Amino acid sequence: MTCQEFQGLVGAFALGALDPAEHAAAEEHLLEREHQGCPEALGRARNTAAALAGALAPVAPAESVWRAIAARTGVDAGERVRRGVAPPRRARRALTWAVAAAAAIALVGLWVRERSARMRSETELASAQRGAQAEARDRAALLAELRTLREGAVRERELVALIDAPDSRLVPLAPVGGHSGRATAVVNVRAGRAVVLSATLAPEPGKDYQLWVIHGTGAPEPAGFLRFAHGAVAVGDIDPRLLATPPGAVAVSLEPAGGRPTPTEVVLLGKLAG
Amino acid sequence: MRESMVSAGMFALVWSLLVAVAWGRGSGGDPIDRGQALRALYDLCSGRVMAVALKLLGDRAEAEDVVQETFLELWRRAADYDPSRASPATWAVMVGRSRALDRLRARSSAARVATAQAAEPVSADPAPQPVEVREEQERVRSALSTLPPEQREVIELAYFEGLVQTEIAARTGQPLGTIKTRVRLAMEKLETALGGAL
Repeated sequence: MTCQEFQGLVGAFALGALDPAEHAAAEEHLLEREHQGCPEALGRARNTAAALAGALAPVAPAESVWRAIAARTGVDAGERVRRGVAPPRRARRALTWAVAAAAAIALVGLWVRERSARMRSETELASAQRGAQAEARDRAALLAELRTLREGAVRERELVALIDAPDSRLVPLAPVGGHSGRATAVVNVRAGRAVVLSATLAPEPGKDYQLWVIHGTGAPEPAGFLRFAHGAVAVGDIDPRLLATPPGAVAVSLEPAGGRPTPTEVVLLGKLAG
Repeated sequence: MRESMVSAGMFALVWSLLVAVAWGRGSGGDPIDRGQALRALYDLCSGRVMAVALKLLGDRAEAEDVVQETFLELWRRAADYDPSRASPATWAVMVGRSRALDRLRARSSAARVATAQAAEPVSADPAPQPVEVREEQERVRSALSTLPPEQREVIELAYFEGLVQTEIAARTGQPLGTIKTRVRLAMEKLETALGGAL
């Protein structure tokens, strides 16, 4: 089977609609080393086939199903993240709001406790005016925290949507040059969005992890930086101007703070082409 | 440069899912994260896997068996997952549908016809659903509705009834070559329509 022949039946293959002999021939073709776009065509066809499930209303399995899975895998069966099974976008939205709401409740609770404590000791305060000023400062600080949390929730939602879009490609970035660590580039050329995420790179004092996009045999183009925020996950946006044409590779290098126009120490590399 | 705030919550769950599934360990390196990842994957995808299995098999208990088999398989085959090929959600639906097809194809032809006749058509009005679900259904159904009727028919027979192309040819009375062309054209159009609407 040639690559052209495979790509002519890749849709039926992804649907599971090939007869056994053709299915076996297609699987055998996929084992060949050299391809002209077959894995990519298969990925797109599989995403399309899986998207068809969206025509059906999600159906929640009985609670006993999760308990049986938990028992067989040794996972804590406790409460699921969300009881009952919501469809993906609803689950994500509910969880994102839950995160924001939980954080807001915690902050408001903290503020109420601090305020109560302050009121109890009010007689010890030098003046009611000083208390009011302190409260105003607290309130401003809390509002700033909440604003940051809200922005974070929006950011999380954007990233989840990008990761789960059927036409997003998830490209593993592997270590090079004896370095360690891993990352994943999530690239959606159609949407002009790409991010790099890493749970294993550690911040280096005085240095930045710089992102690079490589087109064909061209020189690496600086594409942004990985940023470490809360938690262990570093995230960096790739400059959307570099996605006008599909990139061939994405790389991460370790550079002096502020970055460099050309990479000096590439630590991770992932290829999209092929 | 855009500062990112990534903390606990949904994104961390999805990320730990990706890390755990792709590299066989949690983002924190401990087995608890793998459990959280499996739970996140289950919460995100079990409803859809169940819907597909129920549609194909027409039997709730059997569909729930498929859901269980699917997530146990995802757990066991975590190291085989290639994040460059499909999203975790796509992978879960793909594995679940494959397990349901195995069961369906083990049945006799008569039993399969009975299942197909008992199943609701894809376009049937479902029970009231949250707006997000209705939007998703509308998006996919809208993409299906852009297909010529004969192309839509082959996709529904293949995806929702689990027929292979020779069976579709026999069912519709059309030559096999015609069915293959319709499947190919329909999938190409759907790829454009579904990708473009996201």
